[in-house]
Amino acid sequence: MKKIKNAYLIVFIFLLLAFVFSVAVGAVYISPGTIGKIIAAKFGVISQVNWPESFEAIIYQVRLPHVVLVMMTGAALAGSGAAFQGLFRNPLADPYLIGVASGAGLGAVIAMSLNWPQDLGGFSLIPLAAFLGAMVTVGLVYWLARVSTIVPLTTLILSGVAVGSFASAMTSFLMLRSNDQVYRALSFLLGGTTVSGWDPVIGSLPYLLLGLVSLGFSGHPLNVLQFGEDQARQMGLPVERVKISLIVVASLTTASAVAFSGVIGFLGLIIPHLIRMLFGPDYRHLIPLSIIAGAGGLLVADLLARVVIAPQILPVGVITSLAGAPFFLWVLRRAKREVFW
Amino acid sequence: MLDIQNIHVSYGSREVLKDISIRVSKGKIVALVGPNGAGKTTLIKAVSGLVRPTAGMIMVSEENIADLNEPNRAKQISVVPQAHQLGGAFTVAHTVMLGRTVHMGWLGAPSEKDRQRVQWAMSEICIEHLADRRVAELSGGEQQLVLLARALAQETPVLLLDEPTNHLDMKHKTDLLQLVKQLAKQEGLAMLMAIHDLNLVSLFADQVALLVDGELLHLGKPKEVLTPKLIGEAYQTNVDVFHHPDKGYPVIMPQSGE
Repeated sequence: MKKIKNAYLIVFIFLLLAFVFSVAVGAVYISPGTIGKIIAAKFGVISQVNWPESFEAIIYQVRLPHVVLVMMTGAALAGSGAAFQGLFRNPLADPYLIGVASGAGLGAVIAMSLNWPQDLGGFSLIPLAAFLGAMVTVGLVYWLARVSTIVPLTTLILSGVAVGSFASAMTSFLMLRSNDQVYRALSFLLGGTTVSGWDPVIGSLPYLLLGLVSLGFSGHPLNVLQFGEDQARQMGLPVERVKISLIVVASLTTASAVAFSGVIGFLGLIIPHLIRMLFGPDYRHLIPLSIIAGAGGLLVADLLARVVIAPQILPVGVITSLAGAPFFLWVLRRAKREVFW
Repeated sequence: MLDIQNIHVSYGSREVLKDISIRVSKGKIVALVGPNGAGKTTLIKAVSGLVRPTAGMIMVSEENIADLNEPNRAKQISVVPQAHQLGGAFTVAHTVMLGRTVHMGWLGAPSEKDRQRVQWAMSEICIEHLADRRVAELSGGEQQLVLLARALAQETPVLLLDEPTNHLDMKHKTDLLQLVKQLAKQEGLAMLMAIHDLNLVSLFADQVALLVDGELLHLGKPKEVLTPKLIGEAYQTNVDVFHHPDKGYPVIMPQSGE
């Protein structure tokens, strides 16, 4: 019990540090102390102002919305990744396993190649198209895998892979056909943010919050599922209901994250594994811990993406794989003797 | 009490169980024997609700379990699967606690009663010293005990055991069945157990149901069922059956075919 409390403390401190540095670092460096004061002043805790006025604008208009969106995205990817790994009982499962990413990519690229306007009445259309693409794809995959009233997980994975590669191929085709949009599309597929400001945060917050809270509380059914579907049923778990709820929640969560932040790879795969190696396989804690650590992990990757070739910004998906893979392998080598899966 | 009444089970157009009726009373063990493919596992699956019978009823405590949803069925019937089907990353205590799933809420937060039952189950099975070990680190015999404890934690009047002695050595086989028999008597559990080893059946079962090609060839006391004639007919092989000089129970020995 104490060990688990420490685990929450550790990932929370990690998130806090990542948050402070993410807000501090950028074209203009703002020291953590000043950030603290600016936020405190906002809440009326302190009254004397001794920083340039532009700092407030930078923090409130630029950095905070960006940082919050990144945190939400990281949390969504790692949380859904953990849930999918538990549901499919497969260490290779990630949030994109059943077609969310390829569907979102296709949706976004269709919107771009049709030269849709950036927004319509204040509503950004690319994320909407990506979200729709993701949900339609997952719906199709689910429908294809369905056998009367049940959905066998192996069929679900296979139809996910098949539909996914079809959608990816369509995406590539559209990209090659529309030269002027290739960079924008590629950036989306590599996890480059297409949006800024508070609007995307507010737009995706309801879905993400609902999704993350539901995922956070789904640990117990996932634990029971680790014995396999037959045993889980014999132990009293309504397996098909649990499966469909988890698939809907995790897909919705992932789709709303991907819609605004692009397809960020690898994070949803490695964060749950890291947490599992460090703090054990109990999904009641594995999912909430992954959510917190995922938020922090993506902040770190995003920070790197902003400073590596500054003032240019790399798509953060490049960093999650480029830096995440070696880091993950290092941890994997160290932990190889433990039974963690 | 478990009362299986005239059940039929089909996979597609193939009927794999035909008109099976078996009654298991409180405190008794009924052994389910028969050659590979006779339908033992299918019967266990049907009774535990994994496979839906095409006809017949399975009654537990006056309720037809086909009408129950998973949680309510799992309050009546628990299953001890084979040990190699056990996931390995959880600790023993956590695994046994998950047997309480139907009694715990959606969040899996155990109540005091859940903890007490788990403690009791682990002490009955004598695996308290393993509580904090990971299941994957245990031997096959120990894992089988963990599964038995998990089923006991589930707190049901009926227990199904699916070949629980496979993969166990001679001592662990007898120890496990000794424990199972004692629990059946002490807790008044009705137990239906699929098992291959006929000598163990002879030692521990109260009744034997002999299945062949999905049909119940004979149901009766071990002495009545474990005869050269019935076994020969069921398994298509010749056996000798002796009787233990002191205790009188049948001892089955295959003929070498010379």
